[in-house]
Amino acid sequence: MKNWMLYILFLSSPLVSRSCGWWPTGEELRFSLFSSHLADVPDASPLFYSTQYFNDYEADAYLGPTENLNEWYDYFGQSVKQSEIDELIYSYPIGKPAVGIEQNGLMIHFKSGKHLEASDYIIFAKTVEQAIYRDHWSKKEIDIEKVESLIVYGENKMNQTTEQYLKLRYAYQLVVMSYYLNDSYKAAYYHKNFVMTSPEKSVIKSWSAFYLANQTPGRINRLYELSKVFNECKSKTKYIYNVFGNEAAEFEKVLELCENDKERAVVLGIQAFKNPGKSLFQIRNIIRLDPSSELVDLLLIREINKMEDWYYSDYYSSYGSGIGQNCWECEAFEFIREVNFATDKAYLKTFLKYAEEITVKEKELNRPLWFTSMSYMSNMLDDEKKTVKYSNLAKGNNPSNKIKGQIFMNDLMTLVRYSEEWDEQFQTELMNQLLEVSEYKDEIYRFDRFKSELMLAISRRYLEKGEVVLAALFESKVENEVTERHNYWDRNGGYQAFDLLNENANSKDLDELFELWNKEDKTVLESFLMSDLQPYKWRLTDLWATQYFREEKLEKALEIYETVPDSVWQVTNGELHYYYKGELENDPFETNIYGRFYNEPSEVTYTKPEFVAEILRLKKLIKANDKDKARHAFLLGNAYYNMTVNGNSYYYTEYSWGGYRKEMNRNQTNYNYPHRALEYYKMAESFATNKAYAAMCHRMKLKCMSEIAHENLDWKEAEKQNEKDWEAFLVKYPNHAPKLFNCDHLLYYTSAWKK
Amino acid sequence: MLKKYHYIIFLISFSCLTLCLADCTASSAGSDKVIVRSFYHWKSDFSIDEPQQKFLNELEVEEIYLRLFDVVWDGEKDIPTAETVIDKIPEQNLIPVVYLTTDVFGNLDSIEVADLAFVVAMKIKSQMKDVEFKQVQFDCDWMPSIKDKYFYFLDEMNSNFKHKKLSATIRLYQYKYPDLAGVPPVDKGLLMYYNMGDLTSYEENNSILNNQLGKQYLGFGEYPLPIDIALPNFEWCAVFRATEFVRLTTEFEEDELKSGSLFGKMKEDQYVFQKDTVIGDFYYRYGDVIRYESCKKAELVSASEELVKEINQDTTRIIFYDLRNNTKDDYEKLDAVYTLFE
Repeated sequence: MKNWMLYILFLSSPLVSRSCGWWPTGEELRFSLFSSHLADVPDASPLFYSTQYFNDYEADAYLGPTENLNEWYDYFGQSVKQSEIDELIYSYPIGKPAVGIEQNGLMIHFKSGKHLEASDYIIFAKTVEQAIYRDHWSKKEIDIEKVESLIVYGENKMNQTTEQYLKLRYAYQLVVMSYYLNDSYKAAYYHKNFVMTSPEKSVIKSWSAFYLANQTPGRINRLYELSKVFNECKSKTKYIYNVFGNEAAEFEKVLELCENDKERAVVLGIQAFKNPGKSLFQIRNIIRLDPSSELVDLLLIREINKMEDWYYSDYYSSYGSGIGQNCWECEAFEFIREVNFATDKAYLKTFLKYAEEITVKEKELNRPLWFTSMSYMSNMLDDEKKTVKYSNLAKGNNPSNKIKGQIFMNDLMTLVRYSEEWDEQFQTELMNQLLEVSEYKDEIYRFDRFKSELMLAISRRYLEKGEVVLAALFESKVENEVTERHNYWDRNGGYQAFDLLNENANSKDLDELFELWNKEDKTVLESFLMSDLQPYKWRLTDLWATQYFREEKLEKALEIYETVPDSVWQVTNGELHYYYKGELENDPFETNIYGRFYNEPSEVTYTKPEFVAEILRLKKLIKANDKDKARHAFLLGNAYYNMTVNGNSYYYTEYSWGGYRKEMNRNQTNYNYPHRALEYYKMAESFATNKAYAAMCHRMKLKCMSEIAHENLDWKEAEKQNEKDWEAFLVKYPNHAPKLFNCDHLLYYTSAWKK
Repeated sequence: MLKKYHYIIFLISFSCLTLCLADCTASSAGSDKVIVRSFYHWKSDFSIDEPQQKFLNELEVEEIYLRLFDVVWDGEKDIPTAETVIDKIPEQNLIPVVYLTTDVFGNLDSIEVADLAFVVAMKIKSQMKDVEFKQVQFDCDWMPSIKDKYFYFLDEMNSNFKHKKLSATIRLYQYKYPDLAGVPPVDKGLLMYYNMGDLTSYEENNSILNNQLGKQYLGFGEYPLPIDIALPNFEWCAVFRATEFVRLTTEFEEDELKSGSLFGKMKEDQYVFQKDTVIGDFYYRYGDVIRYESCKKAELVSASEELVKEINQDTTRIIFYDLRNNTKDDYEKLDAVYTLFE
């Protein structure tokens, strides 16, 4: 309740931090340190957990499906790069000049006379693609005549070629063309007699089955046929996923058609992929039906990504809290957040327990993946012992490179989390590990984002430990892809480090930062961490001095301010991420009866060092018992009042008006309430040499008391208290108090010190 | 001199007579203002069944603005999506509407814009080949960065539809600031008097229709084009998590929110989820708040009273967005609003 007044101001002000339109949403807010790629199924990325449907999935490295490119790669004896096969098959248009085609490795391969039959097939396949292409605007329809002639041609080629690899592919093209001609009989004929009878082991068989499935009459039958293809060719999963709806009843009907447990497991798998909530019961059933299913791996990773999202996203992404903390129901929302966190934690524990049991019982599971997951879940649950135990078990089970990358990340987080020291040995170890991270660049899903999230996670760990400077230094390494999600505006890591220090550091922390800044023999890690902060030198120096100013250590503040070049205080274009001159445009000594809304800059302005110097000068004059000490004390009252949230010059000690992120730890009492101003107005009243000026001082004292009353009392009590104070004012200064109700006589009373 | 004097008297008399006649004409037009009752149809499946046809006839609806397709940018090219197939032609006149997303114009140069205009026109003609239509409408929330291209597109459309009238939707801010937003080169504008609030703000009460806000855009003089008016008659739910906007959905009916055990009522039109639940493709969490937004009769009446003052022409279409299966339940409300304009 004590902050009710701030809430009103927040709600009524355009400066309240609020979301702009629809951004950031979904994937931009999701925090994840568990790589979605661990199952090592490149074409399966549409099945990864996302808060944003399919839109934000990382595109596979190639234009074409990897599962087909791998087969071509092997066909050419691994002598041509997959990227060049991809380029020639999927990128270059047929019959049109293609820039760079001469340099393509596969083209060179063909030109040297190798695999000419394959060259013919690729030209044929591309011609088919062009013939069946139908433009969205109906500018080009399917070229039926051409397709019909291609069927004849393709059938001949299929019969002529002796290479089973190409025979199968020609047969597949015949299925595709028949499908587009709506000739389901012919499509089935080619599929049954030429595709399925091929001795080749190839994904092309599943692709062909996919077309057959698609022409199956009846929705449930069609879904059933498609489900049989779902796990066989990952490049078609997105399509199949979309054809299925969300209705449980429909899944039930498809399940009834399944002939064996493997088929049932796939249908349950599709249902689980469509489940954005808790899917443990589905995963359990799939493992019961088919423990060797590849879908289990994908679903396990997906479930951990979900738990991370529920458990971590809100914690790491401050987005939203700026609004959350300014709402009337914020206590209720905090309660909801706690309930949901407890629910998620309970689910995480349940899932880990299940994983522990099933890995003992079921030997067919991908053990390195499960143990890595269990290590990661244990880390989420703050269980160091289990984190290490499962990490070691994963390492001992011959993990793939991708899983090794994840284990490395788990270990790095464990190192940061549970090491108490920041000595040279630890720094060397951490630095080495941070350098080693890049070795897993190709193994980790969205590595750049991942790396930034890792830095953010390390930063938060140090913040939790109260190591504000380290937290800020690691935050400075968080790059834009994450910072955009993490903060309101597009700010880079250095700016976020500033924010973190502004919200959490005391003067001692900032001394520590600058000690490190000026240290000549920095460790490698220290140099690395400081490397992005140089552009923020004056901004951080200003913060350092300002923190002393906030703590009322004015001499030290002035000393630091004076190291900042004067040009900094004249900046009006935000080049130092701050419009110094533009923000400090009011007279901080002005008497402020009404409030903070000043639109016109005043004629008298002060830079930060000038302002602190003036405060010091006034304080000295009071101490020296100057004859105008009442006036000096009054001006100091004004200055301290104007530095509060309701004053005209809060930018001297703050960098924005209003709330901060939820991890804010700095005490803002003197910004929110005019305690310091009150002391000076009291002093001014006691020094006043005439009743008129004493009344003016008392009037300003009442303004401060009125605001402070709301700090500890509820609205009604505070208002009662204020009424009493006004009555006392009227009794004490009967001739002046009525005239000081508003600012009609302000000029007279503020000049009354001269009398 | 005398001649000159007579000439001046003649001019004054003629002017007075002209003014008088003009005034009489205006008065006469004022009493004969024609209001054409209309609806938007925005869904892809266009099939007016018998009860709906009866409802439209009883409500004396004359025109249906039928969204034919959208033009969107798929990351590489402009494509038509969400195409409407006309199964059965209703008794009302159909006016084809094409919605274009702004990124389409953001990604095209002027030659491509002309090409787009051509293929869009061809597609409209093809889809409307069995239907008589006199007007074509384009809907695009244009902004300064794409204004020129969009207006060029409309210019091209004028060439493609020489014997048809063209209209374009006008958002409230475009209506208030024609000098800044520009005036589309069409025969008529369609003022969209809805979606005026801040949907994503937790503090908002009703982003669809908020007359306090709406009024701020009215009364700024005559818009350079004759205008028709679109009013809302739909409902949706904005979902919030810890006061943060999460999604917009139409999957909850008001009765379901009021009576279902899944929800607790917070205040008027605000409900809170009582437990974690997966509905459709979304995982709702305990504490998620649903703001149910709809168009109540009182609000629509209030809006109409303001909008009547904006009409300054003989014929105005009042178009409700949009026609759905359950719209017939709103007969009384819709009739009352139409009547206010007549």
